[in-house]
Amino acid sequence: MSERDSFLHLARPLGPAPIGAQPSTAPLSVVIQPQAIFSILDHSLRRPQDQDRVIGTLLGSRSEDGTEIEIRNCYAVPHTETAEQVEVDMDYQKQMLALHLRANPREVLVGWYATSSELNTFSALIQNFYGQQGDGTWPHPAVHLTVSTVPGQEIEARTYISAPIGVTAERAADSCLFIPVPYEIKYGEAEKSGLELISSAKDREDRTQGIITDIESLERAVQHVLDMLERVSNYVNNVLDEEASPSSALGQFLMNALSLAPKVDPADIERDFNAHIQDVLVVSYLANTIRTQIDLSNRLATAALTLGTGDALTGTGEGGGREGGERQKGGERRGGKGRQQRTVEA
Amino acid sequence: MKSFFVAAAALCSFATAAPASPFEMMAPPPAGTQFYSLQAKSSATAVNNQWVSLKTGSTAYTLASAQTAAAKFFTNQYKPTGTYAFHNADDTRQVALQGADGVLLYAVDITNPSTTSIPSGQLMEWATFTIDNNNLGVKDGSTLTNRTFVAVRGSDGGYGLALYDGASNTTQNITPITLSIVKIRMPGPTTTLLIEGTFEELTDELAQYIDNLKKSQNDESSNVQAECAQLLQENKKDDVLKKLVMGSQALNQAPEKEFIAAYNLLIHLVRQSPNVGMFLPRICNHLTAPITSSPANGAGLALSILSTIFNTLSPTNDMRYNVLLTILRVIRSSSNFDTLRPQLKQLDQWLEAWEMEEDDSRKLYLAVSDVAAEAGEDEQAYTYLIRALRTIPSDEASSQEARELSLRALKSALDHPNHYDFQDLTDLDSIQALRNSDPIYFQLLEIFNSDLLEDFNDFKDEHDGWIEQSGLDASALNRKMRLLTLASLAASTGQTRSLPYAQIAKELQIPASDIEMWVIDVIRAGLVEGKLSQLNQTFLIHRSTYRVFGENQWREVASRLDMWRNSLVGVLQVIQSEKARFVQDKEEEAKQVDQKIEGLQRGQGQGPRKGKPRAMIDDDMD
Repeated sequence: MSERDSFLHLARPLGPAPIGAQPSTAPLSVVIQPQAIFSILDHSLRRPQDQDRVIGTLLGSRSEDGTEIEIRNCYAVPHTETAEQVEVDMDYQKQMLALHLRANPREVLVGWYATSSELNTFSALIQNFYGQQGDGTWPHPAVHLTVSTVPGQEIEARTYISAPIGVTAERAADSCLFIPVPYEIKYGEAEKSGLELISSAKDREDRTQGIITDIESLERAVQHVLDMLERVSNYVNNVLDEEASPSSALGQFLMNALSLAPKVDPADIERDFNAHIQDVLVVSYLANTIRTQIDLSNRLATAALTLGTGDALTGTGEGGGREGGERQKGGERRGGKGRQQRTVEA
Repeated sequence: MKSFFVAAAALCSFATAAPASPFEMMAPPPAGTQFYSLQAKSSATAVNNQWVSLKTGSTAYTLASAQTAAAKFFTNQYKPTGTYAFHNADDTRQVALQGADGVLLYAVDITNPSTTSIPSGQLMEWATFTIDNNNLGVKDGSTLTNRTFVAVRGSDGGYGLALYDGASNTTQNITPITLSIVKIRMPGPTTTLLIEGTFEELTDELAQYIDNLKKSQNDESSNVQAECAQLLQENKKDDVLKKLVMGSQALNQAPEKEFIAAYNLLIHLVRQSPNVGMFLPRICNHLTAPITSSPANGAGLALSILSTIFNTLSPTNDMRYNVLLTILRVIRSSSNFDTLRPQLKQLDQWLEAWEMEEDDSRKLYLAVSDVAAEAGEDEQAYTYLIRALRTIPSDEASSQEARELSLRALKSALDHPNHYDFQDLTDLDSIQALRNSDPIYFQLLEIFNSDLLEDFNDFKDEHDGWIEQSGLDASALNRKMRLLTLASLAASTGQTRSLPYAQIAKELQIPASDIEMWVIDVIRAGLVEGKLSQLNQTFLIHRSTYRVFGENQWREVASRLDMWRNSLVGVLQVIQSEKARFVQDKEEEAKQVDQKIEGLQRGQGQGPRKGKPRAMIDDDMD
């Protein structure tokens, strides 16, 4: 999803407003969660061979004033297009929507997607269907998300809302103006690093990628920071050698960033670190002592049980025995299991 | 020399072998065609990263530095040879290589090349390009191995584009380049207005609608519909549109629900005319007039239509500029700056795409600045004022207009309560020009840029009453000067990073009881960060802003960067050595376990009790 198209979004078309509120023309923005994009791409992969694009319903949430729409989820809706007509399985859409809303009561219908960047008169028809009163998003505008899925080319997403066009009712029913609106794909740090890991497997022949350990990722991060530092100090050296033109704003910024490091003596650090190490040692010592205590008490408890041979005891000891068996390791566990088997046989 | 003849022969034979018209004419290319630009890569900086472009009215390809100027090609494969034709904009024009002797074959733009169109005495070939690793190559049967594309320096200092045979001598000034093929991002759908119906039907409906509107306003004389029908029969579409656009003034009285739909239809119709530029200014004009039917949302409605007009024009169309100016007018009159703010970051990109003159860019920046000032956004207003100033070329720096703008910027910078950085101002040519025209202002700027409170007081003594006369706020200036002085003091402490109270009081000329207030103020202004130590009567500085960022500061940055890097390298070494040790330990452990097993097995001989030793190891692990 490289650079954006250049467009201007200043106002949305005036729509009907909830009772008691002024209708507003405040511009809106769309936030897309990546899982929605993934399922759209997946849907596009599974489309019938003769179909250029497939469509589906977008679900998500809408801020109270309607200026921010978040697309969280989506599902496919079967449709067929021929040169003359488009058919959307409305029953299916209704049923699916009802089921989805039962599972996710907080999500609402926000619009629809298509897996081609193209807009045509069928798009207008479908858009009006999704924005209509009753089953549609009315009184809010329906969002149309297009995701281009041409193989070999970058994936491009665009979001639109629509405005009416035409002065007669019949004209307005099957036509509309698509207004591009700004969107943002939001994903968290965890999702990003996970995705990076997965996508790094795509260049390998066996299509596998090991998960890196904490220490490796630390090493990688340090390396990364070093590279960045290298770049910055290159620039600074160039400035000093009068090869690059200095930008005082940049210098000011660097200075501020570098001043963030606290001013401390190495001796202080040494002292603090040693104190910290001692704390850690004490904690680990205490933890060990407690573990030993627990172990000991467990062994004592099971020892008492295994000593008793009466049938009455096996019945009551079952629960305790299992607990003990779970906590203990090695040889003791085997003993516990054996005993349990006996109880089952009995 | 011999090899050259061979090559020339090969070229000739290919040129004649090319079919008269290898492709059907189907200009322009179908929607969704991938377009490419060609970018020159070279070790010579003068031509590196330049774009292959075609000047209007010329047929020879040249290099241009702006990507926006780059010609857009699409490719077509010529099946018999597997090579490609590079078409410019439509299917009839394509890139050909042409030259008199074959040493340099110039890249030219040819319409419908055929064997008959080759000028006599010239070599010419087309559809012989290869795409190799995203670089442009030529495969035409020539046996020369060192052929390369070159930039040919012309007499006007520009660069032409040619293919050099790599062997012959040439008197031309040539620089070898490779041409890399850059995919152009597909533009968004060009049409977002989707309505069915012919031009005639739609105009008729709109005309009728306008008539009805006018009639409801007791204007019985209107008869746009009949006039349009008349003109349509004469097939004067532009005249019909003229009538509609004239009549569209009535749309301002349309009920707010129908307003957008009606205007969108008008835009759709106007877009079909080849003379869009004639109608749009008028429509824009109508939209700046108040919309009588919707006092509350009028501005929003107008903005929504105007942004539709803006968006339906192609991104490089400079008519967008005028639409944007209209939008700024509407926003200004409706104080709607908040809706504009998120869009402003695209401004530079747009100006680049429209290839605007500096005068026009300045006008736009000033308009934005005015809108921002009106909305009380002083910071934004100032930023755009500075940008406007930057567009003034250095040879016009002392003009009257430049002087007025510079003074305006200077005054607003001085008066602004939270603006402390004057270096961006002093860097400007037009501000430097004030040194001659308004020396007192310039002196004041210099004081605020780098001097201390004492100098400011000297200035006040020297020019008694001048500050009040020029309409500046004396108390605000005093306060600002004190804060800046304190920042300078903090910056000058160097490695000690502490400032005794006594020094602050002396330099700021304030009583000792006020010191902490001033320090808190300067921290709040973001100039300095630090801690006050009442016990030691000192101010401990964590960070301070340097008012003048000179070489010493850059050195400081460099040394801190070095320090950081060295410590990080140390950390990295520790991590790596620990990791290596861990791996080694692991191996040793594994080895030991292996040895143990082996030893046990050997010790047990061929004993059948395999379970026992394993159990022991199990216990060991526990």
